[in-house]
Amino acid sequence: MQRRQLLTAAAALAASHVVPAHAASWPRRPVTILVPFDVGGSADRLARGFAQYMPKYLSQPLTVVDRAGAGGLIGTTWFLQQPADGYTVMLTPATPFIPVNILVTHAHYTLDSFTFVNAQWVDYTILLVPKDRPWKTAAELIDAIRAAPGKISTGVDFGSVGHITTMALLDALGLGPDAVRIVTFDGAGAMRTALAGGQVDFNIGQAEGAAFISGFVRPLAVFLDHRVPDYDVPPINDVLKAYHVSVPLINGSVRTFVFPAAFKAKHPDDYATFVAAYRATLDDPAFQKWLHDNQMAGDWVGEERTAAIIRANYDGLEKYKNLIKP
Amino acid sequence: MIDVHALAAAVHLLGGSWQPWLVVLPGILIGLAVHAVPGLTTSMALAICLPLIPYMDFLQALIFMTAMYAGALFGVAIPAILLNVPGSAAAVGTTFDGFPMAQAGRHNEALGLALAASCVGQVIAYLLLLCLAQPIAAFAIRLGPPEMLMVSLWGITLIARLRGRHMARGLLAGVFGLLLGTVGLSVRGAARGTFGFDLLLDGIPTVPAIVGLFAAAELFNLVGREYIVDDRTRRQVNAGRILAGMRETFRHPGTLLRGALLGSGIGILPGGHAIANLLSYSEARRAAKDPERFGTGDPRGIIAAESANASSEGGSMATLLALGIPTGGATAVMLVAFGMHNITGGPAFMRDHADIVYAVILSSLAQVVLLAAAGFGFIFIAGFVVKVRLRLLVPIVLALAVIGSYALAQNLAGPITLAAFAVIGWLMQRFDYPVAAAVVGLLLGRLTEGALLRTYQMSGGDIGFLLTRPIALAILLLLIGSIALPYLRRGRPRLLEKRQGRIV
Amino acid sequence: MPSRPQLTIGGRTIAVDLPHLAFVTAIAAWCAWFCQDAWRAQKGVENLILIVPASAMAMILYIVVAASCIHIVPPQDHPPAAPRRPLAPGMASKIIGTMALLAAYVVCAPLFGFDVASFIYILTMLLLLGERRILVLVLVPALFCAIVIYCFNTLLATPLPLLLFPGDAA
Repeated sequence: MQRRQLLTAAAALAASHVVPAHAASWPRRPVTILVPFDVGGSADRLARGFAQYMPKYLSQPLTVVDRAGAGGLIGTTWFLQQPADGYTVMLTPATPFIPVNILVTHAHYTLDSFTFVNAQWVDYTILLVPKDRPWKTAAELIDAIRAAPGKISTGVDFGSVGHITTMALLDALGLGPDAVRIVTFDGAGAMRTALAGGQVDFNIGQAEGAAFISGFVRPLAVFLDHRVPDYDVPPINDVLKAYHVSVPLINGSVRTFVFPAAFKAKHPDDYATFVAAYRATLDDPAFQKWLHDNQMAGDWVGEERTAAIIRANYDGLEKYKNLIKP
Repeated sequence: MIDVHALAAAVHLLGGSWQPWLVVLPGILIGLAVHAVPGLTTSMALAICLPLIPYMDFLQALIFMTAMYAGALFGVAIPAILLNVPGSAAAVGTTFDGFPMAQAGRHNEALGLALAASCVGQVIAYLLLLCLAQPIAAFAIRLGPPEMLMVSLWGITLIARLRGRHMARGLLAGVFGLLLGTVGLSVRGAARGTFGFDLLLDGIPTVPAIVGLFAAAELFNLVGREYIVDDRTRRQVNAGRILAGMRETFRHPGTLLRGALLGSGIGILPGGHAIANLLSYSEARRAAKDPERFGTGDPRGIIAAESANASSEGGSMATLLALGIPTGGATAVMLVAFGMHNITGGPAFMRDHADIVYAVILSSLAQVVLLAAAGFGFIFIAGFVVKVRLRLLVPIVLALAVIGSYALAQNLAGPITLAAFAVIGWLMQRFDYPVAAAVVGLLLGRLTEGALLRTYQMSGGDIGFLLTRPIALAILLLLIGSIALPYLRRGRPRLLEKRQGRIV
Repeated sequence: MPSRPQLTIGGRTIAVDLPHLAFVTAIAAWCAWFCQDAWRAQKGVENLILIVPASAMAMILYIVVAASCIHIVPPQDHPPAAPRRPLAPGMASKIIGTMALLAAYVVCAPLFGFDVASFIYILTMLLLLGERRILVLVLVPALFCAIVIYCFNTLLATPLPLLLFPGDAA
């Protein structure tokens, strides 16, 4: 079986450069999925899943290209420079990174430059502490911070929802940004490794990333309005009731396919073809299993709802951008 | 320490079928071929490899990736030695003594030395991994920014050692490199030195900068010469001499072992992989009784750099295999293989898939044999480069470098960096500034700033914080000791003799 | 113009190594500008923790090196021998030509297509470096373009802007 698979791979590589003679409509050649983050990250792995399962429905192969840098800014800028003919599609955690690009890093695009296809996988943020730290509840941690301002440290991935949520939490509790020692990291991976090693005292970050280091950390609260089965911890605002404050619940990474706005405007039929192939892939039970095994989600919420989610997140982030601006 | 049961299962996995072995040779060849071409980078090798992974099973995928990296680790040394163009930051240390050897017509020996050192380095690293994966990983996770800071400082002292004939110029080149390394977005989102160019937000692209500084500068100089090797009789590819070079490696067991151990240790640190070869070179030079021979074509320079480079990969594999946490480029990519086969990383990985972990380690050990053979064949072919006239070689290498640097990110940042640093590099050579010092600075800039910043942030500005980090203090003391020792040992008369050297 | 112009001030002759002085001043100027640019971007310890000390160090080193470029020439001595190997005749123009061609290549290749630009670049370089055999002048650039561009386009699937060959040009 393996040998046949490998031969298939070789054939696929060769065949991917031969265009079927009968193809009359879009797509006529392979489509590139652009991921504006590093290889191995969640968006990249999701894109590779699509490259595996979607060609069946799109009738063309899909290649994944990574262009990391500046919190997604480099890749997104490059993406917008490509022709809006549908042969380059972006898969990215559109929020918070695109709003942060626009609000903090002065990107040259706006939300209207894009069409967001579907908020397929929305993550939430979670409060974690290394296992060897003494705090067993979120309230204990908060009390400890208040008792000894400036002594407890937190790791943040600059510009992420976790970062903004951390600042918003401090703000809501009436604690200045100096109440904790903020240690900034160059990416979520580096920060998680530091958290696992106990280099920092707590972290508010992506729940799905937490799975990697679950053996080393203890969750204390989730930033949702309900409990989740994966972690037996209270929603944050329940904890905060005791302090008479609450924090806004900003979505974690919202992963979606993205096209330049011009594509849907100029080629609405091709756009519809893509969306149909995409939906078919999501409905494929094999792909759903793949998603489940990789702890990724494959929800369909539709374009309108997606645009609303992203706009809501943008507005929320705009309010708090001053908390993280350099 | 070794889970014998899992080890037996691993042997069964590997010995039972030929399928896992199918991917080793292609992996090695891809890694070798891509990295032997100046200007091409690992991301291009990955572009070839990654689409093939879904067609392999999990063990095959892991073995394929480790084979590719094994080939890559040695591949970068080939242009470093023959052309003075390191295939990546990891081969910079190899150029210091490799290229002088090539120019003297001893390119066969130099390549043999590098190959053997690389193989031995990998063997030692994976043996360590086999026996000590869990303890290494548990130790690794306790290393944080303060420890990284000490290692970076250690790397910075290398600048002082590479100062060339003029101390002030050498230090200035190093500091200049350091500052260049910090161009771009700060961790807090402030853009520094970017002229408003988005493309510079991520910093100056290192591979084109290094290629420019080394390559073009040297190649411009060679423009007046006919061949890399002046002496016609030495301009040959000779299998016997390659083998002689390989044997020579074993005549310096101390350097070899030290390089391999150092590399494994530094490879554990995030970002350590790129600087392991430099630190090892620096230490070998410091420990030698005749340090002035380094840089003129001393085999120990190549051995130190290559063995550390090869073993650093093993170090970073420890955290991936034992903890399931990726610490950098190579291991992050392996995670892709995990994901494609529905396997999560995490500490459970070693527990639940110990047999696969051991199988990967064992196959990596076996891969070394294949690497030696494939590498030997490769060297033989690559060696013919010295027979090519420079006036053909220079434009070809430069054009390749430009295309490679464009293909890196599909924009002009790469080529423009290459051209700009080519000119800067030439000017530096002309005025006797050590290019190597600037390169070390460039590589260390981001790393040092990040480590310094995070240590500061963790400490809250309190110096006493360092007292709570025994490992960092230990490294610092070792560092101070290693700098002070030569002076204490040799006493005053030698010290005065050294001071005769020019300051400016 | 001699690279070490001499001035006479107050009875003493001073020789200045002008090219070196210009080079080191350029480096120091960039360091100073970079430090200032970083300062303006964010005036905090966190941004400047490495940049400020490094720039300060650069300034000190600059002063030391610049001072070394200026020699007082004792009246009875000959001017000190040139510290640098003088370039062989004709080399200067070759080196400048190589640099200029590289710059032109870098700028033109994405504009006009890597295939055409590479061909012209290699051809011109060969001519500059003295190659006169027609066979080599035509074959080498052609083979290079064919092999390399094929590899990049097909094997590595990197889109390169090309003029003559259709590819996944971005």
